[in-house]
Amino acid sequence: MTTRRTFLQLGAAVGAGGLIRWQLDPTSGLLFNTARAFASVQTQQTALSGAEIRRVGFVNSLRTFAGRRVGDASFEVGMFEFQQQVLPEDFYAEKPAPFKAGTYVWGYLVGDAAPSWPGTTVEALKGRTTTIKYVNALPFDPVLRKYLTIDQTIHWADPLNQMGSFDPFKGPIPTVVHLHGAEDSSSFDGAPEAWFTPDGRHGRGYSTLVATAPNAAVYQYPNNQQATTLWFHDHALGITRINVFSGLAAFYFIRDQYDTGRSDNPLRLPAGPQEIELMIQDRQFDTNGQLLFPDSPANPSLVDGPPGNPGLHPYWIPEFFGDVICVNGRSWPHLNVEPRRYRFRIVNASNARFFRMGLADSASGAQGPSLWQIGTDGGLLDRPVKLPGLVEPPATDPSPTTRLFLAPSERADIILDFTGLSGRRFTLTNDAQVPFPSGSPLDPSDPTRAVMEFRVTLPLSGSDTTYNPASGAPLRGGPNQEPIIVRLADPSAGRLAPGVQPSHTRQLVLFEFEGPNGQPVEDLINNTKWRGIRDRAGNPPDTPVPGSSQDTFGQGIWMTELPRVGSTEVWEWLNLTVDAHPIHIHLIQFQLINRQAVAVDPNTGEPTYTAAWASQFPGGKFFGYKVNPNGNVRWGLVNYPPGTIIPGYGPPHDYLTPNADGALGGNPAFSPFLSGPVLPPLPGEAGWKDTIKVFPGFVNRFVVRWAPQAVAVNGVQPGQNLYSFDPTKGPGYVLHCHILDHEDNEMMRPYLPVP
Amino acid sequence: MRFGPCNPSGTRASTRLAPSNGDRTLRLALVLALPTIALEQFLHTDRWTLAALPLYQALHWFSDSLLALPLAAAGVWAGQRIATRLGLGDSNPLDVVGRACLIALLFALLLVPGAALHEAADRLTHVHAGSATHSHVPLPRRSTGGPRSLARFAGHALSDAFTGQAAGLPLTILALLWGGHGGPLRGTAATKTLEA
Repeated sequence: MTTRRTFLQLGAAVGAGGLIRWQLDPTSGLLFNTARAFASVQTQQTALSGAEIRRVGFVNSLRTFAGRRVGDASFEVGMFEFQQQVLPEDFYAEKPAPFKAGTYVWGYLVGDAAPSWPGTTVEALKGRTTTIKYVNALPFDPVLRKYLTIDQTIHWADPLNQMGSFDPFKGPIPTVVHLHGAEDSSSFDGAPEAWFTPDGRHGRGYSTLVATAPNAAVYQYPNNQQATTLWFHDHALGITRINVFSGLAAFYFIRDQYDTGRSDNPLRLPAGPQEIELMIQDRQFDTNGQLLFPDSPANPSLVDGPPGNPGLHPYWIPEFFGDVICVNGRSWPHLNVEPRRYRFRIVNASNARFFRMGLADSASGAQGPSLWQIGTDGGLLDRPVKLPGLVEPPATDPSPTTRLFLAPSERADIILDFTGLSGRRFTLTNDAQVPFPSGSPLDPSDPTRAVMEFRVTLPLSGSDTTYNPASGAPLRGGPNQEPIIVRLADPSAGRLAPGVQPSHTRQLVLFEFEGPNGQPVEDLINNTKWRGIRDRAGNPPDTPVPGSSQDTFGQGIWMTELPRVGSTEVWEWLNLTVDAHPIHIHLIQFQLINRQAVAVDPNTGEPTYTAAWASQFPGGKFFGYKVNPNGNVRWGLVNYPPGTIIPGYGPPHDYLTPNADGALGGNPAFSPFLSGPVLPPLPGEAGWKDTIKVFPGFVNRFVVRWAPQAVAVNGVQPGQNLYSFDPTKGPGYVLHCHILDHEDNEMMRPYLPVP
Repeated sequence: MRFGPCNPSGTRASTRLAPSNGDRTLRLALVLALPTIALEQFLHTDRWTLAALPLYQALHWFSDSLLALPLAAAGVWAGQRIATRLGLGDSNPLDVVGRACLIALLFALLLVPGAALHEAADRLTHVHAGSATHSHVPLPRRSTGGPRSLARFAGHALSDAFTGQAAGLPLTILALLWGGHGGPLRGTAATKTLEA
């Protein structure tokens, strides 16, 4: 029968269509695993001295985004590989093809703009959602993968299931985008396991607002927080340091009815061409002008040594430091300015380098005009903070500084006043040690002492009636201004603000696991690795850290930080390493209460807490490193005697059992080891923060709350969700060190607010 | 075969040489669906993804076309019937164009609920999607939640469907002109005339 046969044929067609569709699912579809061919070789590079580039002066002009920021409610962001002139133009002119065209970088193509490093700035409006389709359009065989060796021995995205291999990765590059500092759903937060590759493979945390191409994800941001400077960057597990180093970063401004970005904004902040974003990053180049990331003794850098433990991590280095300072993707640029006030939105987007900055007259070296900080990570300050930028002795502790002090990922909103300074040039200087603070002071000839130059060469166009920070006038709390900051902490006294009643205190330890030569193997948060597993290499079976809970999204990770949504907590971080770590907590803006030193053993130079902490470990056989008779270091099961720190074991006690201080975290109480006064936040830290420097040898206290910024003290109760989304759902959030080389190698923990 | 096609002279053709009404409907539906879905997909897929994943995109197009085939077949079947009732012939080029337009119009209308079915297919086959609004449209999660959003969704789907006919309609006209059209259907005026 025609009818019956036709229906059968149609049914078969629909069935076939459905089957194909089913098998196209990038997570499990057979059709998706079609043949792919990849080829890669690692490339010998000779490091180029940054001093050679610095010697020619500030010849590059600064790339700016004023007038071409993308403010649409919905658009696409693609990730591409392309060539960009980062170094001075003349440098490339004498190079052979293909290097003549510039440095190979990866960057975001935002909306209709051309791809660039950094990508074109996004401007979102408070209260209006922004929907972005992120497309991983990197080549299957990118040029940069031959320069930037991807270490597969660290716990990483691993799209080809090769984790543990000592061979460089030769497959498709996983990426995922995190909007840093945003109050957003964890489904769109760029979870480390939410990566996707150019050929459509997905991590176990992948999610998208709507079904889309397999090499893409659609994220939506509510933009309900206060006007501020956010930035978005790559966040894929174990490869963030490479992806951000390659250029996958861009600014994201949130505007509101006060901070409109227009010249008639009610705050009278400099706007239009006088509002400029500065993304500051250090890089290393080779003699062909290509990016260099040290991966072996064959590819030495001029600042970093080769990998310190090649028998454990053949290509990973503990911190990347370059000797070329790039601003907005150009080396040591200059900016021509008028003799008037300018607003600069600054992010330190380096892998590991801290910056302590001031202004100096380029000709005489004399002190330049003050920097006026008007905002932090999460929005405007109540009043401006004057940073004269005096030359100071290198600080190794949270001593007050007059300079603009930014760790990786910290932002600052700055006003510089060039009024009356026509014809002069000013250098933005830097004097932060590398690593910070344990590194030596920068040599006077170190090229990284300069960041960029401001040239007051343009004629004044009209009078300058913008907000003058020297007046000290408030930025919040007045008419046509955002209300004053909701204070969870009192920054002048260095204690909790009146009325703030934390549900819990957590005491967490930062610890560095070193190899036999003293070189770092991993830095850990609360001695716990990403998965939250005590690793025995399966024999006997691995066990989760006591007091942890498995994630419900199927990522195979165990979480210890499970605060109730709506609750307020105090998190105390004791840093037992020798360097400061910028700790970033996703989803929330929070505040620094204070810092307080712990006692140090004069014989070892270590905090006395370290020995007390070590004594609590019970011993046993766990995964670690072994030194073979021939001196080679290899991973293996190690029998740790009682009283020694077992790296990755987690805290010595059950996480949820309060210690003598009544704090969660599974560690001995901090209070018996405290020494010295309580130090209130630095003036530039006395606002909303999403990344805070945790200094070594100090207990650093944060007050954290899982509620929108604007909610009043005690305006929310534990269990009450005041976000416009449900933060208890999805793959979850993370907290981590924002030294990218650390966060890539286990210094990151998942967390999830619970109902 | 009971309802064999007729040649232009009106005599019954050999059942061995000519396809059945059902076969012809299916063929015409394929001619209609494949280019329509192809154009929709092409217009809504960014060039980077097209270039990066050509095989995936081809399979995606093929599966979507197969899933849309019943809708196209329904459009063809109903369009042919209505055209015949309206007295449109199958040899006059103008009539053929009118016939094709009717088919394309019906298919476009059917693609509106088809978009919702496409959503369901996405939800079933893409387990990690938070929701499965038409894959190329980054609409908010609540896009089909209220009457206004539903209207927006339907409007978008209709717009897509009509745009797709820019490819489907010409090929349908060509297919009808080429000879695949002539099948009088049971119970239609033309059939009755021939049978008489």
